[in-house]
Amino acid sequence: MIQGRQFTLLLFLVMSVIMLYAGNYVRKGKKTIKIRRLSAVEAIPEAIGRATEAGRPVHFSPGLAAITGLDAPQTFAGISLLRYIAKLTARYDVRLIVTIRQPAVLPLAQETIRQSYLEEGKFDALSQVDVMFLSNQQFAYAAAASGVIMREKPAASFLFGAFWAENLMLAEVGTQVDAYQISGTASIGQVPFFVTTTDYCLIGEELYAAAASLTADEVFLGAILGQDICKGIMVALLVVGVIVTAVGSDLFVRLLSL
Amino acid sequence: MLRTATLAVTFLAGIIVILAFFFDVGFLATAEARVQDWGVIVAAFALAMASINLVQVNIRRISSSDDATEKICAVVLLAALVVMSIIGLTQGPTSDTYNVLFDGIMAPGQSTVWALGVFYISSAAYRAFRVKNVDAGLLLFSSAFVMLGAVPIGEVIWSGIPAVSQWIVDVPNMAGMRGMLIGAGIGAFSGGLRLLLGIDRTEVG
Repeated sequence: MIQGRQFTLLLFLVMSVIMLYAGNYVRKGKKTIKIRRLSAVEAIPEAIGRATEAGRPVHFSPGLAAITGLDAPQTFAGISLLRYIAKLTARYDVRLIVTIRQPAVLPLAQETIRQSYLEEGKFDALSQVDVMFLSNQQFAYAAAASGVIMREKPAASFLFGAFWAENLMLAEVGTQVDAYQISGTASIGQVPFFVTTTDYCLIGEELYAAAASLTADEVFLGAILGQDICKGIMVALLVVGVIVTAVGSDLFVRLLSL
Repeated sequence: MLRTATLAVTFLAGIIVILAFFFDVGFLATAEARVQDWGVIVAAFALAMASINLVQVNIRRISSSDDATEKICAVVLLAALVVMSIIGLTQGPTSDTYNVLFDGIMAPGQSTVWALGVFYISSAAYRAFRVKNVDAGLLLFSSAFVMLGAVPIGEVIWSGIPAVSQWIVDVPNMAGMRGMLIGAGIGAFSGGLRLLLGIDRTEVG
């Protein structure tokens, strides 16, 4: 065992067991989960409806992160939302434009869209979809995506995933073309920019919960329950840690360095 | 069959990386290095696919767009792609020619786009600071203190401004950010666990 990681392993195991148990608990119907409405998710059909009426396309960006590393879960959460959005664009015959920064996300997005169009029985309408790899350089992507938004003038722009300094650029260009914008990110430093510039924003963990609220699948709902229990444990640990440290004990310091 | 194989590979690769993080065992470290190597190989294939997509999209722009500027931009992009690929393949990505082109064109271009951010911040701030409700009022009030605290004139107006500014950043702002961070971390963990165990199969079709 690597020194300093024993407590992390303990937390990892405890959280895993809680989440799996919660998922199983909900799946067996032992508990009915009702999650609060996420206005950003509820606004998605409205945004696509507006694009349908205006005869303008819809833009989607799954963020700038890859499918590996710390920010990868945000990309996967973005792709889950893309699945839902692509179903709606297929249903309403709206042109979908997806701009991609990470090469590995390209096939993922293409396959997700293909599946969504197949499920909606609109395989022929796939020709209306443009999935574009722009550049793997952050600001080259930002400039190119801004150009796409300016030229195509989408009626709705969805920005779901990990973003960095370029997020304001994308959101502001969307505002300039009068796009209905819905964003979501767990990149905490970027949340204020999205909150101030887009119509709706999924903040932090809401991005991950959005998929659950869309599917109403017991497994996803159970995961939300598990997340809430884990959050409770974290808050309890924080409170106990503050009290224990305040009275002069180094118990928590030793525990964390195990 | 393909889906099962995908899920098995996902689980195996994930579990090796997790175990190697916690346990200092020789074969785990070797296996993790192999998984990372495979990751690089897959990324290389993805880059090739992305390049093909880039060429397809821009050829379509050249052939079907009515806008002359758009056509020129697409031609320039394709030319740059070809030139940089040839130089990279023949002289290597560390050669002088490659570096001169990258440092002389790409880097200043990126810096320029990055610098444009200040104008976007200004226009976004203008809209955000319009006091339409209590939340916007609080945002304006706290932002005014933080901005004034960051410039010398703030201290001239009132000596307490830097201290108030620092308190806003260190206490309410930090508390909110850490709360979001914990929630986002647990959400990411939950998503990762579902993918690893094949509970969430949306990404494998």
